[in-house]
Amino acid sequence: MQRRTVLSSAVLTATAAFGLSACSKSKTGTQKAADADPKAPVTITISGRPTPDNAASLKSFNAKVEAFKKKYPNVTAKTTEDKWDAQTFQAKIAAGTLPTIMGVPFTDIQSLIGRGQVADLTDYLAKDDVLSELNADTSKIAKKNGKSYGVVTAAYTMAISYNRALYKKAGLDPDTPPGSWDDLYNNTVAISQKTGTPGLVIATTDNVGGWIATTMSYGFGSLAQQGSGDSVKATLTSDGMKQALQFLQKVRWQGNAFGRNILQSNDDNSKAFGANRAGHVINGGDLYSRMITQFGMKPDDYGIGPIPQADNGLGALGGGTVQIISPKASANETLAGLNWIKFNSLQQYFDKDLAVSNAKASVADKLPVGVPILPVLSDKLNEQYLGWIKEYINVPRDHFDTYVESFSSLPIVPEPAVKGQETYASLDSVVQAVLGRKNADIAALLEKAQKDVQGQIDAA
Amino acid sequence: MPLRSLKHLPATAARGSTDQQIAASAATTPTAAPPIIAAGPRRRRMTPALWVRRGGISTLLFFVPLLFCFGYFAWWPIVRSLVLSFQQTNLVTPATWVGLENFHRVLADPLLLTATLNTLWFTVLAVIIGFPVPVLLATAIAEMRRWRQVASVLAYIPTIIPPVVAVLLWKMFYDPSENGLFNAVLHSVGAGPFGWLQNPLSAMPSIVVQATWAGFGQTTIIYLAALMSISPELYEAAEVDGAGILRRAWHVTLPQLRGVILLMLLLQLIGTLQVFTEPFVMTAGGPENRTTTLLMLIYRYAFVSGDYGRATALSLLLAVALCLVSAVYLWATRKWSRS
Repeated sequence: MQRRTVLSSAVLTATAAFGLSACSKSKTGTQKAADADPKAPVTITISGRPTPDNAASLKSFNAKVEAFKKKYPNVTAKTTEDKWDAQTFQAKIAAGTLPTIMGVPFTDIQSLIGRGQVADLTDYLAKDDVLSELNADTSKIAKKNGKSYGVVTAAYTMAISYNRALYKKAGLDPDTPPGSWDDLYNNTVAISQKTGTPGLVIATTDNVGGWIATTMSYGFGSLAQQGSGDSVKATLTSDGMKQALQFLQKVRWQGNAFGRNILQSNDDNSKAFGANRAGHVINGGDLYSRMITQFGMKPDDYGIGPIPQADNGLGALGGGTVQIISPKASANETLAGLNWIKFNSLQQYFDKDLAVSNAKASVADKLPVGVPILPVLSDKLNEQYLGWIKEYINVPRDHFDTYVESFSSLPIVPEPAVKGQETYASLDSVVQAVLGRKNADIAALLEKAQKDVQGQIDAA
Repeated sequence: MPLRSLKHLPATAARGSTDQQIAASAATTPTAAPPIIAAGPRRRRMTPALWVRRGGISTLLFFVPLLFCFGYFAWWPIVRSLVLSFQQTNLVTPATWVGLENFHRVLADPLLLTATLNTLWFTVLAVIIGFPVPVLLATAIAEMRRWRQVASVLAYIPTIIPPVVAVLLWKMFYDPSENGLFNAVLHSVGAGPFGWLQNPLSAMPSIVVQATWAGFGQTTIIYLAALMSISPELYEAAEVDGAGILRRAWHVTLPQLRGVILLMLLLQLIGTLQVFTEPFVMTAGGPENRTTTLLMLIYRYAFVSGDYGRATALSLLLAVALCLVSAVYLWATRKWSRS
């Protein structure tokens, strides 16, 4: 028995510890735009099919796919429920099952480009009338060294979302979003004291805490990273970052307005806000649709304003979705994939009938129409589109006024380009410490995070 | 006992062999197996014809599926991981060899020490909390004259709940507001509310309690089976000699159980050193990385940073460490397990 135990425990140990398997096939698509034949039969896989619990969105998605197939009869379009998920993305790439088209958040696109895990689309975009019209400001998110790796189909800036119903309850004016950090603090405390609901809640895990701390730091005037090429320096000990964390510390311990849950995922946070259990959240400016369709928030209760700026504030961190093509797609698949991206997200800016019929269908399905986001094409095309669908807009756009005005006044500040996720991961811990321990030493915590992150940047 | 954390890994094989060994060690009948096959006076040389006549082909046929399953699903990934730990790959273009660089990068990570200490802390707590519970429970159930079956079913029930569901359930129990189950109960006696998972000191123990709850059923059943196979005559003899309940437990029960206990403890060590699901779902490694374990670090390398080389390098280091732990454990307990 002795020997068998040794043997089996060794095998068991080895088997268990090597949980990671990798069966990668190194097949790379040719991806030369010139090789692509727009008429050749081709099969693509479209990700992002809504799940059955989201019946209205699913119906509208399926109808769109059918219309796409009619327009491009040579394309066989399969659909999957896959959506962006950093962990499954890696597994899918390894297994060769990545859908042809995938929406990726701004925050991850640069690391994917850095690792060579997305297709280079530069030639395709240059040749295309629609895709070459993309808003240059937002498109630069998906560029590196002059090459383009994706199509930005949705863009927003980070924002303060607030609950208008709780504003009214606390005696605040729901039409006036907080204009400064002091306003935000005062409103937060007022909500907490008068309604018993936490006034401000942010997500703190899975790198989202660091993402939000960085956003706040921009508003207080400091970047999280400076330089480029070989001389990238993390700047986590900056005054802006310190003030951002002091702000959170004040909300939590002085204003007692944060609530007790200092370990929240982004999902927990969204759910809490959608269920009217948070006065403010700091998150992307694209929160509206999810709050309304998924969490049943009343459209009238949703309010939004820009991230407050100190006198030396730098602007708002930008977010959004970049559509990418699988690095293993062939030239024909890439072309068909881009056609889907255009058809799905951009065609409506050029085609009045399509714009109107899409809007009609969405209204019938009780989906939001006319949610204000950053224009991904030119302002002019955006205005024209809004004119076409005017009578179908079911979003209280006047609640977005202050936020929309900020598009022209607030610069969009990109995220830390090198080891961004690792930077956020280190900041997660700092945010958790500040919210979890009453007298956390912010300077010391940042000092340590700075050292860790700089070490990772230097090793990259 | 967080044997459960083995569940997502290829643990079926592990569990299978465990059961066999337990069955073997629990069997009280003497197993001096009589030599059945070696009956021939002289050993004949094995020729292909003889091999076929003795049923070699059917043996092989039965063997092939096993070989395929283990080979494809266990051994090949192990070999691949080994190779990957010396490579850099983006999983798209062919991998490049980088020598020991991945290992250097693992050892340079400031989180490695934190994760190692956290993992050891989890294991220590899991043994302290999780080891005695099933032994005591199994002893108690074995003493029951009626309802023994019902009691063992009840003890086993938590094991039936899928791990992630159980963890999410407990996450709600641990809710830091007054609405969390535990805080609501404590509130009624005027205590709390406590931030079970939010407090850096209580986060890990809270996770261990959940893991123990989820895993104790299975281990209890195994101990119970071993207990039930102890011959009652031994107890009767001890009783005639005037041994009280404690002395009977010490001199009869424990020595009879020791094979099972040793094995379960080893499996628990290996399992807990690979804890992942519980902290991943409950705390995502927080607060302040107090519950970030080695396996979570591997996970982050691979699936957040897309750095498979580094992830497999750390996996390899962990595997070597676990082999060493097992070897030392078996060496240290060899006397006790033999006598």
